This record gives sequence, structure tokens and C-alpha cells, in this order.
Amino acid sequence: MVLPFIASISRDVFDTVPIVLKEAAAGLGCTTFEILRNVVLPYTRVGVIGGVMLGLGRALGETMAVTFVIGNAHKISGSLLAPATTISATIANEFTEAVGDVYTSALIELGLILFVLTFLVLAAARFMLMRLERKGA
Amino acid sequence: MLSHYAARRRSNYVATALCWGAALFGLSWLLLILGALVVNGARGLTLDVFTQMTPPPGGAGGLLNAMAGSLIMSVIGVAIGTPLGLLAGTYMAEYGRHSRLSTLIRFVNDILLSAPSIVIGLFVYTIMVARMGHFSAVSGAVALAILVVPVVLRTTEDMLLLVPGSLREAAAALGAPRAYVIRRIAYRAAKSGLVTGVLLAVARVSGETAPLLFTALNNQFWSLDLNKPMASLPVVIFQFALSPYKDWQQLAWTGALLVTATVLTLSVVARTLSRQRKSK
Repeated sequence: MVLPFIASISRDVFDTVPIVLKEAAAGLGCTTFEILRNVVLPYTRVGVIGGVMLGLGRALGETMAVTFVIGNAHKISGSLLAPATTISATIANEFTEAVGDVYTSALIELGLILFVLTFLVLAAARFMLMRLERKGA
Repeated sequence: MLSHYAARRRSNYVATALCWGAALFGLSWLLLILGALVVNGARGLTLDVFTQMTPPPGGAGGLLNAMAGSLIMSVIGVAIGTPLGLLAGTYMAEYGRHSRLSTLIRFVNDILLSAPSIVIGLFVYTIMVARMGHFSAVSGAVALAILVVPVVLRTTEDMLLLVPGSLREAAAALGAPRAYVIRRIAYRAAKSGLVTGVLLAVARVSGETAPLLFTALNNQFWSLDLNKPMASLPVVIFQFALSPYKDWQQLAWTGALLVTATVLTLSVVARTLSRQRKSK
């Protein structure tokens, strides 16, 4: 689910590279790949990293697709193949069945942790993308 | 010299092939998902799906109440969220184009755009469901409205910024007041773009499960009472797909196919509209 997201942001980011830079590189005899590696990527590095972090923010908050397949096991297991759980999956599975105020509050606390985490990641990502925009302007 | 050139050509081919491969890999997932949905969903696509209520385990039934619930809550959510997003976007593009406030709003809005929707569900639970003491369709609609605002705001601002300044200046030179210029010139020039934003918001909202789980909950029966829990397609799909009953799982597949078809159609229409606008 992160893949299309990063793909579309990368496309937008690559579009910000001034065409003159690319033409200059082509004029020097660069192949397409060399233009990409030596001109486009260095120019857009901040933006690409920002896009990847936006994808990370998406993945952190994704609820339903994860809840279906993760198995909701309350333990940290050494194997990636064993059932586990995520913050959002735990909230989705247990909130409506939570008995008592402490249980409900604990789940809302989990929501706070999740929100703060994604907020930090997304804010950092946006900050990087804004830096690229300023460069283009 | 020549071998060096050949090596460069070769690495260029390899890189191009890898890029192609990655693009194909991404696209193949879309096709696989659509294929699985059509194969599994079409099997249960009968008239009953559109005319019957969600059944008890083992019984026959359809998804009528879920569809009605989704429709009602999406409409209310969009009706609340669109004006807010539209007005905020207008402020940012027209009145406060270079102000600090606009930059701040844009920053926060972009974060809200990708914020986890389950947190929004929790938020609405604490401010509405917990206060009122019961789950209700209204709170579900409010949760959806919170999701609509950032989408509409973003597209509104982008589309209004595309309107050439000379149009506004021409209108201002004719003596039109600012509010008139915005309403009759900027909105009219950006109309298809604004519609695109609303369509995208509807598409986003109609597939959301997480914010509805703790707000509208679910309802096995036909209900149009906004003060009571209401069924919605995504929540029903979630519940039925995880159930051990065969006919419930089949209904979940069919529901998923319906939701996907709706979202896909909306997105394609929105894309075509905005493409027309760009080529103009």
C-alpha cells in the first residue's frame, strides 16, 4: 500500500527538476541512467527521502489491511512469520469490546502514541518536501 | 574507449529494465487485487444483494442496509466537510496567499491528510459517542467529515492557484469587489477542479472502515435513525470477512467488489475532469 504512494510522490518530485539541467547533462553525452543518478537524484534527494517518510507515516497508521492478516497476538515474537499485533490493529480489534474505564483509556493512550509517532514522521517528511519546493521557487 | 562506452550503455539498459520491472511489479498487484475481487465477488452478485438486509449467520440476505448506511453517512460527511474545506482553501489561495497563517495551515493540513484514520475515529468517540452515551450515525458522519476537509482544502487551494492572476486583475479593474471576483471569476474558472476535489473526498470516505468502527458501529437491521448505530459497507465487510460462516464471507467479497467499483469509478471521473482542466 506504500508502493503507489511513494511512486506518485517520486514522480511529482522528479518533475521539479529544471529541464535545463537534464538537457545540459544530455548535451555532455550522459545516458538516461547517468542523468538520473548524477543530476535528478542529487537534486531531488531531500524530496525522495521525504516521500519515503510519508510512505512510512502511511504504513504506521494503516489499520484495516493489517488487522485482517496479523493475527492479533499479544507477544513480541522473534519470528516475522508468527502472529503479532500493531497499535492500530489492537485498537480496531479491542476498542468496542473494552470493559472498564482503564481498558478504554489504555487504548486511547495507544492512539495518542500512534498519533504522536506519525505526526513526527509526517512533519519531518513535509519539512523535507517544503525545502525542495523552496529550492525550486 | 569503445568498451567504456559499451559498459555505460549496458548499465543504462540494466537500469531501464529495473525501472520497467518495478513499474510492472506495482501494476501487477493492482491487476491481481482487481482480479481476485471480480472472481470472488461476482459469484455472489445477485439481485438479493441489493434488496435484502444483512442476514444472520447461515441465513440468506443482502447488503441493502449497509449500502444505505454508507450512502447516508458519506453524504452527510461530505456535506459538512466540503464547505469547510472549500472556504479554508479559498482563504489560503485568495486572501492569505503569502501569509504565515496559510503556511501553517498548509503544513497541518498535509499532516492531517495522511494521519491515521483510526485516531480520528478515537477522537470522535471521545467527543461525541462518550458524551452522548451511545454509538450513532451522526458521529460516524462527523468522523468522515474530518477526513473530507483536508482533501477538499488541498485540491481547492491547488486549483485556485492555477487560475491566472490576470483574470482577477481584469475583473478588479472593472470595479468588481474581491468577494465578487472570487465567486464569479475564480470559482468559475476552477469549477472542474473543485468538483474533482469533492469527488476525491467521496472516494476516500466511502472506503474508510477505521473511523466508523467506534462511531457508527454496525447495525444488523434497516435503520435510517441518525441517532442510532448504522451499518456501513466497509464495516460489514470487515465483520463478515473475519467470520467463520461461508455465506457471510461471500457477502464480504461481493461488498468489497461494490466498494472498489464505486471508488474506482469516482477516481477515474475525477482524473478525467482534472486532465481536461490541465490541457485547457
